[in-house]
Amino acid sequence: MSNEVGEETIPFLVEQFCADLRTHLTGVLNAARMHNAEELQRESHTLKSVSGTFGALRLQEQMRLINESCRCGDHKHAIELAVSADEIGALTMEAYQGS
Amino acid sequence: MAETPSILLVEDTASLAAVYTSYLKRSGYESTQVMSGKEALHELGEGGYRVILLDLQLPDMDGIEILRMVQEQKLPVAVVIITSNASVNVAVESMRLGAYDFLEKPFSADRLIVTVRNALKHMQLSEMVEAIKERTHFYGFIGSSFAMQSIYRTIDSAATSKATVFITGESGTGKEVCAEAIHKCSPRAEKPFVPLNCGAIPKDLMESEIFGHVKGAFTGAIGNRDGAATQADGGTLFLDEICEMDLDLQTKLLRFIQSGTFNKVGSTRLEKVNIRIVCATNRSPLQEVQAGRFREDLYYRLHVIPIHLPPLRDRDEDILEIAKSFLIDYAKEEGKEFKSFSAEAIELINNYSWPGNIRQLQNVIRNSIVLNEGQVLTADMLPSLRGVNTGFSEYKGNVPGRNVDGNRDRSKLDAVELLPSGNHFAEISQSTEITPLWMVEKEAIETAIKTCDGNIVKAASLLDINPSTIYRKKVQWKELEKKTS
Repeated sequence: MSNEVGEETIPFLVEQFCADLRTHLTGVLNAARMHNAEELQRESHTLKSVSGTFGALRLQEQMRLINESCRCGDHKHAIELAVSADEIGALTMEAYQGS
Repeated sequence: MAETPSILLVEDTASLAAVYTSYLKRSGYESTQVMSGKEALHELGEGGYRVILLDLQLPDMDGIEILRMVQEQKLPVAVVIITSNASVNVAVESMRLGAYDFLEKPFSADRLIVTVRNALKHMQLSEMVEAIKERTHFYGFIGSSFAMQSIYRTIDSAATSKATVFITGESGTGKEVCAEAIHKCSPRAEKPFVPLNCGAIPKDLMESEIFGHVKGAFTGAIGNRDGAATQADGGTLFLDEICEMDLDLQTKLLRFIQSGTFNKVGSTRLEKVNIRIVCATNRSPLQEVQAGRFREDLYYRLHVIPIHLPPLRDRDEDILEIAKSFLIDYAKEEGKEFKSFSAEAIELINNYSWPGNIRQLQNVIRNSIVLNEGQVLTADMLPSLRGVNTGFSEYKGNVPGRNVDGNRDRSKLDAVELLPSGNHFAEISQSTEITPLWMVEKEAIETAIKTCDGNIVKAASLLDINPSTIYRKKVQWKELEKKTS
């Protein structure tokens, strides 16, 4: 990414990513807790794009699975996956904040 | 630095918007970013955007609604959908609604920039096409056909140059209109445009017409006179029917073009002028050169920017457009009430071959208006066009043995007089013996060549085939004749 945007822009972008990660991961977890499938689908969709763009591939894959489960109507599975996303999200945050 | 095109980025996720903006900025593209559908609609209302990067999942609406609005209002902007929901349905729906492209998140900077660049180029080309399509009138020309759009573009390009323009085309196709258009588009527009018809002036007076004379230069030269070259100084000299010019004068013209200087008839003083020459002929200049009637060196000196004006029959949709324009103009001039053509009249006008081109069309319409009354110009008001269609469907309105006025006059060489008479073919069709098609074709082609005084190129053009086709068929006929003998 530094080749594509310039080294000097990276800190700003990482800061933006971490802010969005916090917001939308919270959104995923809240939606799962509230059993709100529609909200879960929307938040996981957003976080999938964000994590993919910033190279957080493990988180991206987890969001993809949650999103697909929601689309297929398998909300129970989507909620189960959302719970384990918390740990992946935390590890991702730690990795990017430390960079 | 060139003005940067306007790109609208509709993306509600801050980090993604920041990345895409950075991608664009690094490639020299500035963008405006909004985070909701409502803001996007407001920005679009302000105008000035050529590309929209549109996320489908917006907090206040589906991005598809914005795409739909762009198409409904025919906004001149290319929409690129950016979404991580890249299902086939979504992609198909987006493209069906007129999206220019579809990017699946996450995408690389290269992918984004290539897409944006292509979208901008697409918009630029679309704008050019629209600009061209809008030209239904152009400096005295009427017509929006593809053939004429090409002519308009050539005139645009040629006008700013000093290079000589050589206009060819059948009689009545608008060669003088073309020359005037070139002059009016040029930096010389404020200076004189001087037309001279080389065929209308007696040959012994032609030199004086172009270069002028001094008092006493010849019998009748009672005073000094400026010729067309002097009158056109700073402007444009239009030499119409230049192939009518005799060879001696062509030599002097060549010297004038090369040096920009000349002597008036009867004078030894060298005159110098700054003119741009446009010339025209309804003959084939190369054939005139080959026949020795036109100097080859003068031809190449003049034939720098050639413009060939298409005959009216090749301008399809323009025929009616021009006819309507004449109808309105002459109805007003003659104080008549004509406003439109009947359907049958339209069919007649469209199907006629117009060998006299626009001048003939002008005369026919004017004649019909003067001699008739009413609001609708009907087919029976166009007697010169009626009954001229033959069985040869590939020739529009062609009556063998008749000239354009419908009179039997074989002494006048006319574009319509090319085919064997209809009676001859009626006899063939009534005969119990069937003639092989190659013989029928041979007779038609040989008659055409004979009518054109042996000029195969002209016969081919009027038969609407390639000259090489005639040569090829001649070889085939020899072989067929050997077989049948």
